[in-house]
Amino acid sequence: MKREWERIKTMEHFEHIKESAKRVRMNPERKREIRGRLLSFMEKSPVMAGEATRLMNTARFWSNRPEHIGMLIKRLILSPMPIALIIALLLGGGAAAAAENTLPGDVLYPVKVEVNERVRGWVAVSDDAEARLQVDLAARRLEEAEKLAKDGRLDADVRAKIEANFDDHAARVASRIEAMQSKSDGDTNAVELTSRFEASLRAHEEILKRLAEEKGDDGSVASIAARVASVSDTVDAVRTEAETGVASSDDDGDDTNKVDRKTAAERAQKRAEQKIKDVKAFFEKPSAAVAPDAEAREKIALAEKLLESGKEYMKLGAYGKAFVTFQESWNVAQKAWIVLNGSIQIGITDPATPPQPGVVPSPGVVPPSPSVEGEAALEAEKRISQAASKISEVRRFLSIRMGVMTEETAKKVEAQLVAAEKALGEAKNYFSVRAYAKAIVMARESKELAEFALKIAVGGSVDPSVPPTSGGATQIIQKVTPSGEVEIEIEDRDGSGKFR
Amino acid sequence: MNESQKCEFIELYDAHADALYRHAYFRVHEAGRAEELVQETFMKAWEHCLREKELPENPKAFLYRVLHNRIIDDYRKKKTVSLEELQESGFEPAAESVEIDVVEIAVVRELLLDLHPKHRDIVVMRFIDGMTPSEIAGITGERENTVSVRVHRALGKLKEAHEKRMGKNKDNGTL
Repeated sequence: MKREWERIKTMEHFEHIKESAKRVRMNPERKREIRGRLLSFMEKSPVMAGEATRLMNTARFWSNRPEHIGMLIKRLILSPMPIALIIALLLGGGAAAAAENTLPGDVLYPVKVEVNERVRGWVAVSDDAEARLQVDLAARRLEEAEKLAKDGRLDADVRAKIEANFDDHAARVASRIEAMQSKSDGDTNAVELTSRFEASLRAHEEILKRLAEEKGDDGSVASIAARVASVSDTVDAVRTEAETGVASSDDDGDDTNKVDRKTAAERAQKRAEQKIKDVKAFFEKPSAAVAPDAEAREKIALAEKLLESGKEYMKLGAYGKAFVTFQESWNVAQKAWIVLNGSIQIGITDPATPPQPGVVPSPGVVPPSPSVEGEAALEAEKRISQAASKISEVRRFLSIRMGVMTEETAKKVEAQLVAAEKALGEAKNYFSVRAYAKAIVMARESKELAEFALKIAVGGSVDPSVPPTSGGATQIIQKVTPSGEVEIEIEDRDGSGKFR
Repeated sequence: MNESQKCEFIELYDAHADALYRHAYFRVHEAGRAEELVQETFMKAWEHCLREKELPENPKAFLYRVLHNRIIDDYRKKKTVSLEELQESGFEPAAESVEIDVVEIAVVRELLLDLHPKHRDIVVMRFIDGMTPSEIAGITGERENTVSVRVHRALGKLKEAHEKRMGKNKDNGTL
């Protein structure tokens, strides 16, 4: 060593040191790593400006250099770090795992949100990966709300937090989608993403509504459901736009991306097939706590039809349209899947499903029955929302199929849809004047008209010349049963549809 | 910030990351911290760009300025350095480097880290980064003349430290 010191004998020598100092470089692997992090930071920073320091600390925390842990603790304590990081640091990796299943209000919940989810954010680099993550996280907030609501732990305070957090994730998805669309028109990723988000939102909306209905609600659950509904309406609009972009790429004569579209369509087909299979597995499980409801079966039938349509498009070489149709099939199946899965997890049943023969409902799950009128109102509300979603489903389908449908068919579908919308409007009017029985009938008719429109559109074995119902064929009978309950009976042409 | 600005910014990283790392490497005691400083510098710089809606006019000087300020922050947070930390802080020589250079660099670095930060900083900028006094002035916010004077003084200090080291090594007579 002494010899080395003597090598630098003079300061003149030192002035030439610059050249050898140039050999000091970053470890190339670390350089790449940091570059990746920087890119991801830049991608998200429009919504996170000012958070650099927080993120830096998170990054440092995970940079896996145990020898600096003492300094780290100092830094953490010096800087205004979320308490969550400190907890995670003190408890080690176990805390992260333990935090995964926590709910708002639990001690480790901040670790889940501040540490685990943030770290996932660091790993997600591209727009697509980041957006998918945010879709998942938004869904996670809703699942938490559902579990809390089930246990009666969803108070106004927690609700506000969940809503704020949900809004945040939704906003991030929106900005990612925007970024994706600004890069290219007709981006299949954007379609997939919006479809994924919309399916998740609609399904959770449905679960939340069922929950509110079954467990009773002080308005918290309904408030979240309404928020989810409004976001999913927006997503739906974006999704339609993105789908139109992809579907129309078949007709623009530009074949440069044809191979990509074909691959995307094939992948979407596989996804849809798999999802349908998954949902059908539910139907085969007799042990399931919840009977798969009629709604889910209907959805699967539709998903299968869409799958077939998609295959036809494939044969025609219309890969953009095939992609959109497969994606739609997946979307419908996914909604069924989330609702079924969520219902089992939180132990609610579809109120429309009659109890299985021989199964006695436990007294604990019988919802409080405030009044017959209240119940009718709930039922009417539910039917109205079902009809509305059916109509929007058909509208969407129509926009996809527009190109291949004959003008005549399109007109017929449109006519049915207009009728359905009119019926829906009437149902809403009745509802507003508290004529719930009439509202139920109109909503039901609206939904049926929409379903019929869908059948024509799908081109199934329906004779479009026979409309399903007409107002005159439906009758409402309201009577008081011996036990004092008010019974509303709805008779339509096949005599079914009786409900209490 | 649009896509082309993002690309430009990443190009800045590709072009200057190594030089900034080198700068930090000779100024802070842990090599690991030097890497972090580079990352933090670019993040801070990006936030600045977002606020200003454009890339800085002289990006290189700007990046050095950000890095300089972060290092100063570190100095403030942490006054003393343990010997172990000094010894643990190895660095990654580029593959083609000859061993003698590695030792030389290590020696220079140790010598520099012995200096008071205010002297060390200016020597690193002047002799490691090869900046002109006017460039240094742009980073530290001092007048060019002041910088020249400080460079001169810092060199004196370095010489002192060097001689002291040599003397110490002679006394020990080993290693």
